[in-house]
Amino acid sequence: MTTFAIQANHISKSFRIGTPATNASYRTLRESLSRAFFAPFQSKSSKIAEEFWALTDVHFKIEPGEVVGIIGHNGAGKSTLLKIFSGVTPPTAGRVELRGRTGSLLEVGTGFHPELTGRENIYLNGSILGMSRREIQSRFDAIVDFSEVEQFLDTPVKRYSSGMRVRLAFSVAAFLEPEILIIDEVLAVGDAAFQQKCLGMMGEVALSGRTVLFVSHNLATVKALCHRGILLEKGQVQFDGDVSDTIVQYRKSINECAVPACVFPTETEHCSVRQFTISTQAEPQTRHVEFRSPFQLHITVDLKQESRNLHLLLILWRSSDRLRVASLTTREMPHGPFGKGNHQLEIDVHANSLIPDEYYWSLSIVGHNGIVTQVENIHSMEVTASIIPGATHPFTKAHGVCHLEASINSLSLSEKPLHQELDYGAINR
Amino acid sequence: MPELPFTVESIPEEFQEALVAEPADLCVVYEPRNGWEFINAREIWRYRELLGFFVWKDIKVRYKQTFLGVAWAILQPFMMMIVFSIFLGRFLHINSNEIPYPVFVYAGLLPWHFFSAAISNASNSIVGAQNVITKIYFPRLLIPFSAVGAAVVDFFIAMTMLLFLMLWYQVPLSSQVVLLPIPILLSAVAAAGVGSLLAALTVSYRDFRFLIPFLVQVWLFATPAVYMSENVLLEEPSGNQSKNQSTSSTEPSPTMEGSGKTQTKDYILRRLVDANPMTGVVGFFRAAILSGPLPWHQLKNSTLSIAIITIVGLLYFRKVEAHFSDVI
Repeated sequence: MTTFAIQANHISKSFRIGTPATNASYRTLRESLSRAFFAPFQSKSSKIAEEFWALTDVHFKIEPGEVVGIIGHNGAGKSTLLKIFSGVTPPTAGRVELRGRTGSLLEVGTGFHPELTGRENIYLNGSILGMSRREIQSRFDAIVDFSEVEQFLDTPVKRYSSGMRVRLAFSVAAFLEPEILIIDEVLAVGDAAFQQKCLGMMGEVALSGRTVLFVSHNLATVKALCHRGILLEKGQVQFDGDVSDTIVQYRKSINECAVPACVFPTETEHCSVRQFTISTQAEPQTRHVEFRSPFQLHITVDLKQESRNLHLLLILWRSSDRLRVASLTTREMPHGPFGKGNHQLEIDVHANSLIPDEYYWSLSIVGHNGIVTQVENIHSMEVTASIIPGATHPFTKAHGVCHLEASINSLSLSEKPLHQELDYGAINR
Repeated sequence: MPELPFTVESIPEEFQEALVAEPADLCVVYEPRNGWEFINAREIWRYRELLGFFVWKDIKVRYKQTFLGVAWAILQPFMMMIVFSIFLGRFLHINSNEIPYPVFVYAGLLPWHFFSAAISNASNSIVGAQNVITKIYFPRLLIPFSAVGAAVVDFFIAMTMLLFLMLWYQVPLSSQVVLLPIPILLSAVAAAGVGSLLAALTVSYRDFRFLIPFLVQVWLFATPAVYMSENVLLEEPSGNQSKNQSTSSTEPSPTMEGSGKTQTKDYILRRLVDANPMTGVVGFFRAAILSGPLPWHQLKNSTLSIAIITIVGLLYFRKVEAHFSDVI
């Protein structure tokens, strides 16, 4: 006998989409009456044409205690799926079964009323989320503590700053303790510090053995929190498996969509670049490199010029402002300068301290008298964020250009180190 | 996927506890819903606390940032009472059966005002709760019900004014007052039924936003709240302002001075308004509190129509509620 917490049994969902002639999504009584009148004279086929299938035949099973991330492009059906799981909208076909008390957070602060005070909203929102009055009462102090808005508890929420409102709302949600938790992009709120706090809370939830279904665009968060990933594409399950594999699959599908920076071979007067790829441990060919993880560059170049003193110069630029971030050159290579002919290189970047951002590579051929030829933007590269356990902030471009790996010890009177050395090892669970 | 039978042994230990505590919660199934369903009383009962919170929110929010606050619950029917006392009581000398007209009309307006406020609020309630409905599940009926619940509270507040008026005009309290819960309960059920129907219709057809105020106005004239159902027709057969309304009186009247055509028209109108759910409720409410013969016959008619309208309303609501979040 198998157990499961959530079972999606071949679910499909269609929406009626309005065509200019028959705007079905926002009908008036008059239209409805005239449609009812003319309905017998219309063929069935015209009805089908107005349907849009947001989900088709989605089928999976989630075991109790699994933390599952659902990823996919915009419009892939992620939110629709969560709405079906939380009962907001019924599936058009199929069946969803949930075993256990379910709490869904499709939005932070659902049902918050601006006229009510913070205290009143805690009760109202808690009740809407499915907490009993007694549960809210017993967690009230903890909620207020977590939200950091204690002094404004009796002020109407409409006078709150948006940050305060979000903090209060998330705090109520954080103390919801169901067996199955369904969350949609909740972390996309608040400032970095509060996001980190929320993330910690979510991590605890994930570790507490509850079943969590989590939808997010933030791959780093998904990777940090979830064990298993489900990739949705055009309303269908494209991939279902280990979260890292799912993210790889997702990035592949992005790469397919993205316009490549360069088409190979790229011909110039002096050389032809046959290949320029980036590979990581997870993916043989990608433009995504994870923060603080190594990667390789594979280059095949055919030099046409009759010269014996040529070098390759690779320059990494930051896309946003064309800042020259780093460069690599073959000058230091033991094989010395290149001559005419085909050359294949593999460059192993084993310590990558680039801050998450968009970058691109350019390739130059350098001779005695400077640059002979240059291929601009030969390959773009994105350094993607990952959540480092114990770090107080996610690393963003606001931190600078590169990340310094360091530990800080206090040498003053206190014997204890000021900060524990950050544990960067355990990113993947 | 084969359907697996569900037993206590089949689920992990930490879930077994939940099974014992909340068996109804344990397995939730979402499936396409196309059939007709009636009210799920068990589910509503399970969510009774949320219903309470919604009612509390409605009341709390309604009078926020008003100078007079909850006094408005009394002032609204009170001001209507003054208007009707001046125009109908003083100028048109509407018969109110020995009862001072202000007391008479206030006692009629109280249940009416409750009903009209409840259905107006309920009909806009679902559209107003759009952001909640698209984000979280709870029995959708809670929303129109809570609008009715809030109106009930207002009704009891406004009731105090009736007692003051009776003291002022020295109208004795009838011993029939023990029957008061009957019309109150009936009007609440009627308001919940009509309110749910209108709320569900407003989701799909915003036309009802414009229709409902008009409907409420017409309904007031078709209800013997400001006049007496028995006497108006008899004494003022060609009454000036209340002519159309007097024909809507529910009691079968003796001969009319009109032609046979008018008589049949009157008959149809009377039959129609006989079915007015509020006719019996308002008449019974007034008789119960101010003494006078209890209109059992009218109450029976009203109860029947309330039952029909409520069943239709709730059935329709339950039929379309699943798609509220898609259509709204």
